[in-house]
Amino acid sequence: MRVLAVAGNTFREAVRDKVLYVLLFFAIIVILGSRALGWISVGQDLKIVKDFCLASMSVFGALIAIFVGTSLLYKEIDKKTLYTIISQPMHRYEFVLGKYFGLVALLALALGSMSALSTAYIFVLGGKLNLVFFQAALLNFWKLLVVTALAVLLSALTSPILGAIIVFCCFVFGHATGVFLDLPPQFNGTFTKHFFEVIYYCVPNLDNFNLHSEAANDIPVSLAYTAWALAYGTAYSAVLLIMACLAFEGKDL
Amino acid sequence: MAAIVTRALSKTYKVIGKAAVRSLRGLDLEIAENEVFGFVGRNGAGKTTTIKLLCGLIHPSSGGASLFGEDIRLREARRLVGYMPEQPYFYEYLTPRETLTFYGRLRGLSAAQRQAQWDRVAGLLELEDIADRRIRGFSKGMRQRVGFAVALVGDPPLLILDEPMSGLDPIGRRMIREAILRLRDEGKTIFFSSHVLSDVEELCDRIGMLVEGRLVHHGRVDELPGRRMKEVEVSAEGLDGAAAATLVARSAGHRQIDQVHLFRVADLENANALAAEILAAGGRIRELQPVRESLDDFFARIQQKEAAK
Amino acid sequence: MNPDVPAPPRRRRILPALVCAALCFASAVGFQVGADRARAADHGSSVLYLPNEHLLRHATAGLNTVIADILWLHCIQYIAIENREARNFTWLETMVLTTVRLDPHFKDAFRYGAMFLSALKADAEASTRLLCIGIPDNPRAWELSYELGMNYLMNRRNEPDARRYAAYYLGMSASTGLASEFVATVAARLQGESNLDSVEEDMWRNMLESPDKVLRELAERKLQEMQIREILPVLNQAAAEYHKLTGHWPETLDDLKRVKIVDKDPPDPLGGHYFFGPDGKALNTTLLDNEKKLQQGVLEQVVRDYQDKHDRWPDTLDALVKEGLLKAIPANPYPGQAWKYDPAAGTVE
Repeated sequence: MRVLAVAGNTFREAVRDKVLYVLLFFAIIVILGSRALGWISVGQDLKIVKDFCLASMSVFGALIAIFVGTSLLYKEIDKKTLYTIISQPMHRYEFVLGKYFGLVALLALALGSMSALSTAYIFVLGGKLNLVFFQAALLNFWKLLVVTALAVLLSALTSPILGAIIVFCCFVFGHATGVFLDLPPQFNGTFTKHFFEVIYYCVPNLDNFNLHSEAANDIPVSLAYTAWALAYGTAYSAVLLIMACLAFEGKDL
Repeated sequence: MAAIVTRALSKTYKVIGKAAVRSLRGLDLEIAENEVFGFVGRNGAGKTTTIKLLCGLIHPSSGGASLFGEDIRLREARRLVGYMPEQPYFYEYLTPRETLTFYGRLRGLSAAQRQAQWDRVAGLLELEDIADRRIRGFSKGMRQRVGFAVALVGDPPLLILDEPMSGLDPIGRRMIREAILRLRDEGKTIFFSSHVLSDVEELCDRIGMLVEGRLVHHGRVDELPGRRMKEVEVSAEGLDGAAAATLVARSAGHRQIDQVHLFRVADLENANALAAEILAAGGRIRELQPVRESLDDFFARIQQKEAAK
Repeated sequence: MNPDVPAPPRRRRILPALVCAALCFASAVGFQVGADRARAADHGSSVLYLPNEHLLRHATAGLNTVIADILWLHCIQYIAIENREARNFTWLETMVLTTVRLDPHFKDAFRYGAMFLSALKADAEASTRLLCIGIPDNPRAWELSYELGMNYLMNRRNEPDARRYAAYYLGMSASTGLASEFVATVAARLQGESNLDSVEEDMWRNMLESPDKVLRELAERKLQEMQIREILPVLNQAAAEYHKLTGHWPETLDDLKRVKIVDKDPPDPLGGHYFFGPDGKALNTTLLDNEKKLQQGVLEQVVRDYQDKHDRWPDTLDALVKEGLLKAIPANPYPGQAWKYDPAAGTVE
């Protein structure tokens, strides 16, 4: 109930701050970008449209998650709006979770609308969509759950600018964790290899949620994989959120 | 049961790379139910720190406190308190009605209860005419009213107000003052900090004074130890010129307004003697008034004393 | 009332929270293992990528497919420009490889990339390499095995076992169940028919239906070249008749016209003309120019390789053979003409 109240308020704040204008940019980028590139391609208009849709969802979603997420708690502390809230009979973690879920609701709305726009656009162009496109869109959203959780954690710890830089680096790097496993064969059996393996499992692996290539080329992805990736995202977000709650619990405001 | 009890409550702010700041040192305080308690001290004396500790915004470094017997670190304690921060900040994009609904939900009130709360609070603070405008465009006084309203949501028995009257115009001050008195009559306990001493003097049953994180005085306004009678003013009329001249020579100060003479003497003893002489000279006593040291003077003296220690 | 009695509630909550976090983290690691396995099951064994290209994919922050699209479009423009001008296609293979490494399921990049490599750059081996990367990752893409089969059939037909490989890959394509009937027909015809030309013609005709302009133009040109190739045996026969009649080989078409063996010029839709080699073999400048361009491209590429190695241009073309870069200098397709090599600029004419 209290979590819902905070979440609802966070959602309303973001909406009244016109964060959803990002949808407009999404539409412009997708339509202009895919149109401009589509006409010189070899029978690839629809693939390019799908690529643009999914990549724009990932990028714009991440932008919302990073910029709104990293200032989520910090802004409340900085503007002292928090004083009257924390002094209410509620746990601090309820506040953190409320903020998180408020932003997640916003992202759900944003990505849901983007998916709907993409679907409509692709249908208008005469294409058809397979299940894998929606799997890719869902995993895109799940990726943003992890990114948002990380942003919330950092917003409890640092200033929004530093937080945004860190989350952005993690976003880029999170897609590249595969390099830790793709070591050249001369590392086989060495300590370094095991060390990198440990790191591989510690850092968030955002490439798990990247089905763009499969979605655009209609390569089916098993439901088992989707389920593993969803479970992974949920568990990792939970880790980050618990850490965010702990960090916020002991904070002097 | 006491509304607020603190035991050796201390707070030290530690920031890495900077010297620790001891904001509050061993505060022992007990505030009875249905009392209006004024908390005074200069900026940085630890008033806000104390209030934040009581409201659970910061955690004590040592010592503890309870509100109506509930440990301040527990959520249950915060159900009993309504808090208005100094310069209350709210979500700018909400209207007062939405703000109060939000805080009502945080307190777990049902929709009907929230409506009842709104009716009560809006009536008390005259919020109806600004109910549906966004806070973004509000003046200081309007914000202060919303802040007070938020503190009242859920009808908590204890109100903790941080500088409730700072920066308000006279009408705003009067509204807050009347609200405090009304709430006191309803049986609430009110704990507020201020550096405007006339407000404290007028409203409070008791006051506490902080100097550099230490409670240096604590007691009824009229019983504060060491608050001295400075002098006594005797006002008389019907004196002729010669008699008046003799009396002026005997008093510590004299002013004349039309036919009224104001004599100032050191204490009541002298005042009584002077009064007898006035009567003897055929004059008439209009008024005999002890002039106490003002709270401002009193605090300035205490501060100097503490600083000297 | 003693506020010091209850244990600080904050402390009481930290431990379970940490335990929770640890549990969640452990399950996250577990799910990662599961996801890795599931993905491996989805895609079969992965192709061994070159490390630097792999890094490129990792560094795209999830934008790999869009970057692949842009690169592919760039690649198509490059093809269009090269096709009009130098016809060297030096960077074609690198561009296509990078594209498909960014988007390993980009089957049209595999398919048309391979087609361009074999049909335009005449590098059938590069084309084969590209398709061999794509097929394991895209087992359901019939186009890739089809293209590989056709590549063996048309461009590597002189190699031993080419027909066997072609039949194998076309069969593989047909067995996905997704290919058009055309593929199954070709695979069946391979068993009986010896005339590969008609198979090739059918393939290009099939491509004429393509919605894409570049592909249509390519098919059109290839069909026109096939037309020219069909005329050559007719002319050879005419030359033999001329030889019987006059006792020597004709040099130009005019010789044949004079003795009324041929009454009008055979057409060359690509604007070239026909003539005869010293042994009476009919030749066509369009085909010879194509061939010359390709050989010239190969030679210049090898010359550049030599330059990379020695930091100077080779003195003669024979130096390339001595160096082991070429088995032999390919003959200039125009009979009686030799390559003109410029050791100062490293160009071949």
